[in-house]
Amino acid sequence: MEKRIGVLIASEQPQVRDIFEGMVKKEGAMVIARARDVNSALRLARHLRPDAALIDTYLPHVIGLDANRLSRTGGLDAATIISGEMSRTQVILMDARHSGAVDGTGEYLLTRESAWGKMPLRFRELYRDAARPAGLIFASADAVTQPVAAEAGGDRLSTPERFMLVGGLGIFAGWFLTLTMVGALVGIPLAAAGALTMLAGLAVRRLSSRRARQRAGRRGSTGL
Amino acid sequence: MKIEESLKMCRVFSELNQADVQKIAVMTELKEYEAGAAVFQKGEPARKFLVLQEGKVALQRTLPATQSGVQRSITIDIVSTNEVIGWSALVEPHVHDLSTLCLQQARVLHIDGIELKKLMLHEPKIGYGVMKELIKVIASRLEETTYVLASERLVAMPAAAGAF
Repeated sequence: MEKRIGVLIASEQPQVRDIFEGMVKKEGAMVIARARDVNSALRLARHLRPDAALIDTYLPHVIGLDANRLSRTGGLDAATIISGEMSRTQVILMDARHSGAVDGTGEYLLTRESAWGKMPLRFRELYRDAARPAGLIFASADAVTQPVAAEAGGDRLSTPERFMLVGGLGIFAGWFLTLTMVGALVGIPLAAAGALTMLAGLAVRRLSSRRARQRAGRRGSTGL
Repeated sequence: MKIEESLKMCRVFSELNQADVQKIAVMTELKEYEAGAAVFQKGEPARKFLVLQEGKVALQRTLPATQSGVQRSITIDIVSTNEVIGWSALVEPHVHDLSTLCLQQARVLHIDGIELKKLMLHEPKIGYGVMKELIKVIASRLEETTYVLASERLVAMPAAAGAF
């Protein structure tokens, strides 16, 4: 049985923590801790040693018993420290933008820009990209409402997937026509066209995935 | 977006007229950086005054190494679209006192520092307009630094990890 990935999420805003948690849970991983500032993120990470840490770029440093917020630029600092101290933890520094108010209903979805428009952001892709030796990656995403997300491909097929589906149907129809021997002259070219369409879809999906990984950015050993 | 338009959207050049912005645009070059890349490092000569056309860049200061030899950096500020970095190109001794790290893919306008200083010297209207806004940038960065250094006192250092 595959081990579930344990994730620490950190953001100042409860709504953003909810969005992060929704993305993580959707893909079968498990949120083991939620932090709202740099200190609590470091304390929880050192105590729990998570498999992954998903950290908001804007994470506050706090001071005093009242936890007064000072600078909000602590996300990178927390990510760098966790990545440096815990070789097993894969760290994702996430810059999540959203337009309008986040209402906290959990109706938001993280999406990323790709050559084919907005695509849902997959936690497992980020987790794979953050694998050692990089340890820390930078990701940015837009938080969009569910209707936009559905349009962007939430539960619907993306453009490459549509290509592959049409290609598959073309192969099937062409093969069927060829078998009947009545429409072989049409069937063979149709099956060939279907195969080419499917291959194009596959190639586009691979290219899109590679570009997304490049955009996410990988921190080399010469970094901080 | 055209370089002139980007410069005009930057606070430092916002009060200049179109002709003046055009003079600065001719000494400007656009460069792109991937997330995780450094635009410049602390201690490097500051030859370019930079405007972030798109993206986010963290400004960091390296802290002295701890007893266990661990050295790390602390983020002083995060610069966003239309903001400036690298003001050391206009102020002596022209050496960067902070390091940078791109948090996203970034497009950065590099303005030649020597040429810009010459222009500011020969055209005081431009010089005053730029320096007036630049002082506000430096002041806000100083304020951020104060906050960060105060909060840094409470951030547990790696050497204290065993305490948890």
